[in-house]
Parts: sequence; C-alpha cells; structure tokens
Amino acid sequence: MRLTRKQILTRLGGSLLALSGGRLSARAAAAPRSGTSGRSRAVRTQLAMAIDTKACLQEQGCTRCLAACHEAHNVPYLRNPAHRIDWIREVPAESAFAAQGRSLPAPLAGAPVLVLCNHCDNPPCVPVCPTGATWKRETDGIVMMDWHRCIGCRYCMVACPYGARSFNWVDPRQGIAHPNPDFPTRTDGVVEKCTFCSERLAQGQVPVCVEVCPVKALVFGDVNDPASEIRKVLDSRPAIRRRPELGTGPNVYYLL
Amino acid sequence: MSDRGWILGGLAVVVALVMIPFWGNLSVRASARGPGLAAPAQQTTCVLPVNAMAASHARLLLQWMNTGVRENHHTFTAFNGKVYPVSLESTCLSCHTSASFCNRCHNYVGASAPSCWHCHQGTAQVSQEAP
Repeated sequence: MRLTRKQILTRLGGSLLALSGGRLSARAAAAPRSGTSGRSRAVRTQLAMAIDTKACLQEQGCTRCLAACHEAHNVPYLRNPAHRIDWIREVPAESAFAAQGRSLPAPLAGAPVLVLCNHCDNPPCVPVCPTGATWKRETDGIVMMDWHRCIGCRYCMVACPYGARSFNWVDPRQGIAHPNPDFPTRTDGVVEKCTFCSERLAQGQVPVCVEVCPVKALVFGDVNDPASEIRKVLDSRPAIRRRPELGTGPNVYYLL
Repeated sequence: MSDRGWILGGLAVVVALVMIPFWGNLSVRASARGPGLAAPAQQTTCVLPVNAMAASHARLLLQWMNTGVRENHHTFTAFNGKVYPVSLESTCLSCHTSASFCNRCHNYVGASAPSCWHCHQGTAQVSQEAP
C-alpha cells in the first residue's frame, strides 16, 4: 500500500486527536469524583467549642477548667511570666476581642474570658510549619501537634493571630507539681497548645475543661452536625468569635 | 644463657601489659553475655515475642508514635490476639517503669540513651528525672 503525504498527515493528526480525547474523557470521569469529595469536605466533622460567657461569669473567680486542663496535660507553672505556658487562659474581654474596641456587649464588657486554640477552619499555623509537626486533622478538624517533630522554630507562634501557642523556653518538668503519669510532658525547645483533649476524645470522653465546668458553660461538639448540642445552641443564641475577619475560621464561639 | 631470666621476665611483663583490658574486665566481673532482660513482675508477655522485641523495638516504637499521634489509631493487636492501647504511657511504661530498663542494654552496646524519657514518664520516676 502506498500512502501519500496527505494521507500520512491525516492519519497522524487523527491518532493525536484520539489520544488527547482519551485523556480528556479520563479527566472528565475523574472530575465528578473530586467534586463529591469537595462537597463531603464542606460537611465534614468540625469539632468546636461554645463558651457561654454569661454562665461562665456566674462562678466568681472559678478557674477549675484552667487547673483541670493544665493538670491533665502536665502544663507547667513557671514563675517567670516570659516562660509561661498556657493551653487555656483567662484574659480581659477587651484584649481577647481587641478589634471590637469599646463596643463589647453587656456580659463581656470588662469581664475575663477564656481563650484557647481556635482549631481554625483555615489554620495559619499549619502551612508555616517546616516539619509537618502541626496539621489539621481531616477526621474531626482538630489542629493537632506532634511534639516529636517540633523543632522549636516558632513560625507557628508568629503565624497564630490568637497567641494560642506557647514555647518551652526551659525544661517544663521543673514546674509540674503533680505530674499526670498518663500524659507525656514536653521538653524544652518545643511548642505546645490545646489539642481539644485529643487523647480523651480517642476514649470517647469530652475535653476535660468541658467536663469540670460547674455551670456547664462550655458546649463541645461537631458544628457541622445539625443534631449536635453546639449546633443547636449556636442556632438559637447570638455568638461572636475572635477575629473572624482574618479568614481563619475560628471554632471557639463566645455566646452572648 | 645467663639472660634467660631477663628474657622470660620481660616477656611476662609484656604479656601482663598487653592483657590489661582483660584484667580490667576480670576486676569488674564483666561478662560477654551482656545484661539480661529484666522481666517485669506484672506481665509474662510483651506486645511482640521477646526476640522480635529485642531486635526491632525501635521500629515498633516509631510505628506506634506515628499511628497513635498522626493517624489517630489507638489499638494494636498483638501476635497472641491480645489488643493493646497504642500508648507508651499506658502500655509500655506500665511494665517498664523507668529509663534504667532501656539504658542497661543501650549502655552495654554503646547506643545512645533513648530520648523518649525526656517527655514520656514512667510511673516509678515521675518528677524525679528532671535534669
């Protein structure tokens, strides 16, 4: 069989078309799959906490959640304020909600509020970590930490707009009065923060701060689950978050 | 042949000097067998057979570190079907309560002491390890 130049070129073009068509159809077949996973990501579990600021203020001077958290997680008490480590702490509402200025609503104005890691939808601490020591857990949205991998560069502390992270400048064991043998301590040169009690969640328990609160001011659960207690309370009461304008999507809500 | 005494005496001195390391070992009653395993009192089996544990405990610990912390998977089914929590504290350290368990062999083979104990604490020595 003799092929003319024209026939050769036509067949070459045809086979190229057929090849690229195959690629395209493969891509088209893959596209709906990624689309559904995108949708499922939108309704994935996101653990969150709602702090009832009014209820919290009922118990004057109560710091049971702070003590329970820090005792459960071997968070040291260090005298030097520059070395302080906090997973959860109390700050004046005016500093927690500094962007609101003096326009804070009634229960908050002038009152102490609890601040902790916001376990953001879009955590700024995660992409800056050079070792992958902190990450957003796909299954429940907790911003986790792997202290084994932390090299103490503190980029995450710079990135976090909430000051939720603390650095171990000194050996923390010197500041732990009653160590909890079931939980590790940290070592100097490591960053730490609240993990929403991931170790308790793994055993089906709620975070220790939620459990010990005498007035049940802390509500914990999956905000994306319409049946959850936190979803219901957020749907029925007004709540504010710290610096939502930054786009971090904080998951600690303050009920008014 | 009047130097025989000097020669034999000198040889004896040389042999004695060359064997100084052996005298040293003899004086501290060192043995080539190394430290045996100090089996804990409460349990008779570990999460792996003893030989496998001796050979690859470091690999198992690394695996547990990743499955427990990063993969949120908290159970380990042992060779005998027993299910253990993937936790240094509640599984390993409940039997091996202090760093001396690790250090005996690590010292013997000249391996660095495991750094696990900087953070993970045995029930026996809580708060006493602070350097």
